[in-house]
Amino acid sequence: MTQALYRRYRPEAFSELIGQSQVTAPLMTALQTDRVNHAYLFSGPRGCGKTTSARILARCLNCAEGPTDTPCGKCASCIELSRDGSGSLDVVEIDAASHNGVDDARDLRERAIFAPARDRYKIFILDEAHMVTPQGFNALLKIVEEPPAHVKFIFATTEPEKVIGTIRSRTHHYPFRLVPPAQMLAYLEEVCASEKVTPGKGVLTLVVRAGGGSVRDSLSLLDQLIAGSEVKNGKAEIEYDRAAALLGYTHASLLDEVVDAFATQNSSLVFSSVDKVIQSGQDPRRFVEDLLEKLRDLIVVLSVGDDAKAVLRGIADDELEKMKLQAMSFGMSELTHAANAVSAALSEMSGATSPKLQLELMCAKVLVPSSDKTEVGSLARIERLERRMGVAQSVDAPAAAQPAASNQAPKASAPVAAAAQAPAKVAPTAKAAAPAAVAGITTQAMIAAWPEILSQVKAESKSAWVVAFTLTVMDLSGDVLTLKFLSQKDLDGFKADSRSTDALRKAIFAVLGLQVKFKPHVEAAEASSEMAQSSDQSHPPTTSMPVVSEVAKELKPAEPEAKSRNGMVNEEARYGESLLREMLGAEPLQDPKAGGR
Amino acid sequence: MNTVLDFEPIWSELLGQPEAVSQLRQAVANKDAGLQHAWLLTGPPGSGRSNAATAFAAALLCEKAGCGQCKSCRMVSSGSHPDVSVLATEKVIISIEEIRQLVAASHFGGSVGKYQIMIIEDADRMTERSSNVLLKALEEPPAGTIWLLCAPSEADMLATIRSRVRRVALKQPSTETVADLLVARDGIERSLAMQVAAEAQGHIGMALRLATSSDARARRKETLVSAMQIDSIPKAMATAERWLELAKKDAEAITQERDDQERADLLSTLGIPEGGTIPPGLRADIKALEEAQKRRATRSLRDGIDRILVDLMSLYRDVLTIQLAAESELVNQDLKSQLDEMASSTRSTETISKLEAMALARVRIGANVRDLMVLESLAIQLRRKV
Repeated sequence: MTQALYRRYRPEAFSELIGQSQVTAPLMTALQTDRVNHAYLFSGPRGCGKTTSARILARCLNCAEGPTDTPCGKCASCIELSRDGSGSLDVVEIDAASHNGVDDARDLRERAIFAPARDRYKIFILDEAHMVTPQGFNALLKIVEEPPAHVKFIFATTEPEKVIGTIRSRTHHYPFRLVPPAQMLAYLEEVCASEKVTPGKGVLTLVVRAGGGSVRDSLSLLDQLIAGSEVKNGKAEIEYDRAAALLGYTHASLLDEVVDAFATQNSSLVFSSVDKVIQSGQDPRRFVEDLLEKLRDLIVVLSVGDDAKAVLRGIADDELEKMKLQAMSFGMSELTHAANAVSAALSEMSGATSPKLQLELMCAKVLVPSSDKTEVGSLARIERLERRMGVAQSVDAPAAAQPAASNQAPKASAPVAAAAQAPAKVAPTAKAAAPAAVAGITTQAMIAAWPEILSQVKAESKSAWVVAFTLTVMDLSGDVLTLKFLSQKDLDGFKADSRSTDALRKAIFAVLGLQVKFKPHVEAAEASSEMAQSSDQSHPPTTSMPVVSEVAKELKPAEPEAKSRNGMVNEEARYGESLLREMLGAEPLQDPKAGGR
Repeated sequence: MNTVLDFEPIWSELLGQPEAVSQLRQAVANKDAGLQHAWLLTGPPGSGRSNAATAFAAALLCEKAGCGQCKSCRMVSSGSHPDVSVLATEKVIISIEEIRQLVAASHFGGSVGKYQIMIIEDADRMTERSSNVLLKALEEPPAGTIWLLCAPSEADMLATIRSRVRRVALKQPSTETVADLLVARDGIERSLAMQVAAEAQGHIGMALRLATSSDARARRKETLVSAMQIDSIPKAMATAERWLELAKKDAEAITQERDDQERADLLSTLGIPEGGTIPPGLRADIKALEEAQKRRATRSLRDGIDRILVDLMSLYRDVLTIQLAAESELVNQDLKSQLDEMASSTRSTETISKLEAMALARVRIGANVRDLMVLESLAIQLRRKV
């Protein structure tokens, strides 16, 4: 029966060990010059060669031609200690995790006194030494400090800090490291060649990435891929698609879909993507990790702009361009908020909770920044408000978007201000950008936001609030908001008082970024006409968002009322700004472009 | 790749998992060329992890790769095969002693076939110390010993364990798959099957229980409806108490019958007539049984509370999807009108903080906080602000 790859390819000499020259070189020198210490501590992450090195060291020490840095492989000891060997009487490998008590330590102390049966040294390898109890270690102290001349100790552990200090000070401590990707890649190629397997392009890179620098992890994964590979003409081939699926990487297109959906607040798309992840049987945790990585990349792109190429190595130009657009549709605070929510979900994700529920909750948190009560959450909300206002203003007053954006932290302001202009380039490709957020407001969202709208109306004008308080939202289709009035009298009063209608409209705009037309509905009699609203194309949500300044200019002459509209929008912008200041405590930064504002 | 129809009969229980089954089948087919010695089967609760492990073991030991008919297959299914050791726990954790015994047993060869198969169900219940005991045995077991660990997700296992095993991922079966299974296997009516499948969120065992017991369905509904009606602190307290009662009833329904049966069996084994006095020498045996049952009851009650919390989470998840207009399928379709009402009268922020409160409650239950207090504090947070 063939064994797992990581067992078959366990190195038998220091020269075969990869990526650990900081350990192997001094050990080999010590062996050559015969300055071997009596106790060693090998530590490092999983699967980087601790146990293997301990065995090799034992082999070197006990080789008939030794002590040598390269075991001969021919003597009785070397054969017994090889991969397929039976094990030697003089090399005792102890699973310290199951022999961790003080009794086991005493037993070991007694055994250490006896001379080796055949070879030079009696070598004790204590694997998983972090599990030995403090009492156990203390019982070993004396023998580890001054063992008989024929005894050597090797401790191997993933958690050296759990080995008590008094033991550590009696040993030579060699920290092992994870293997760098380039070296691992070369090694995996070698293994593939000797296994007679042809990996598809990019497969090994995937394996290296998934293995995370641990040789055993990487070999386990490769083993799994080889087991699932198809044999063609006597040669096994590993296909890229299958490897990606088996290793559980989230497909780039799915990630883009989710990120775009977050940016545009398209919750149904977000939730259907979550469903897709669950249905495909992909590890939900992997998905969250990939999403976090994607968000991190976007943050990098947003912070360093064109220099991102240096940070995100090996990224294609079109890819970078796409990521820039994605990053801009978020803004720094929102990205930070999203990354926070995703990262929190990642650390909470374990146990028996339904993974779908966890993912959905995570997405909801990203979609609703107000669920985050910290500063990041509020900043994300401000940013969202700003974006909505920026959207509205870009129709008539493109310049107004900039001062709004400059309310930001100074660092982020530049890219965000650029974001207002960026849509020019996006327009044909990224239709799903911010406009959908505004157009996508449903009746539900309106109802959910109603209390907030009311409280804003109240702040603006008490009398308007008295009227608005009695209204119930019935329906919202497009930009027509149907409101239920209790009686015809209320309706008449509402119509007559233009101040309260305006206040309500402003409040809705401030909260949802939507210019609405009111359609009254009275229980008894169907109200007559739609209430008058200003000009027809003055509804930013209906005109698509990526409107550029040029487009706006073209529009202006065709729109006689533009001037009066302009004044109104500016008023609204000012209102929004005062809202930001009062409600959220935002302070405008000095911006020369903003002028007297 | 093979279609479902080509699978050996032993895999028939694993509906909706074609990828996992083909991965395991391939391993069985190539077993002579070499077999990975340690596997980790992961999947959400109720996706059939332990079933998959048993089927895999049976297929490995069977001469026809899992006919489901031969003596070996039937022995594995009934849990009496000498070469298959199963460590399943009904306690909250797997103790280090149990793992040590299993590790010791893993060094014996197979007595009938070539393989000796060690299955650990709920491997996530191993403490860190127990997992460490397993490490060496898992890395280089003697030839022929195969380890199969089952856990809800990879993240539940230590990194050192993860790097030693090959992972097989089971996915959460879709509502339709679960419903189909209930209709085909247990003869449940179609509409009911669809409803319970959605309510159980892909947990096959739970769906079956909901489908076959109208009491369980009623208890679930009561939990949810009562949660929506909390509007004052006194009501919250009363509801929390009621939840605990429901959880106890739920737990009792599962364990009571078994407890009685076990006691009767033990008494008859010891030769004590029903209602007879127990001689002092045998009291220790009875006591040991009672203690084991008590431990089981503790876990059963904890599971019951957890179920309540999961059900509540599904409820608020539905509210949230309505609030966010996510247009995703609702879990509690039959409460649609109440859900709509709740979604329109509260805000998504509140719903999210309620969901977080539930997650916190689950953590607290896991940390042995007194159950009633956890439920009370949760109920207060679920209160609707008027």
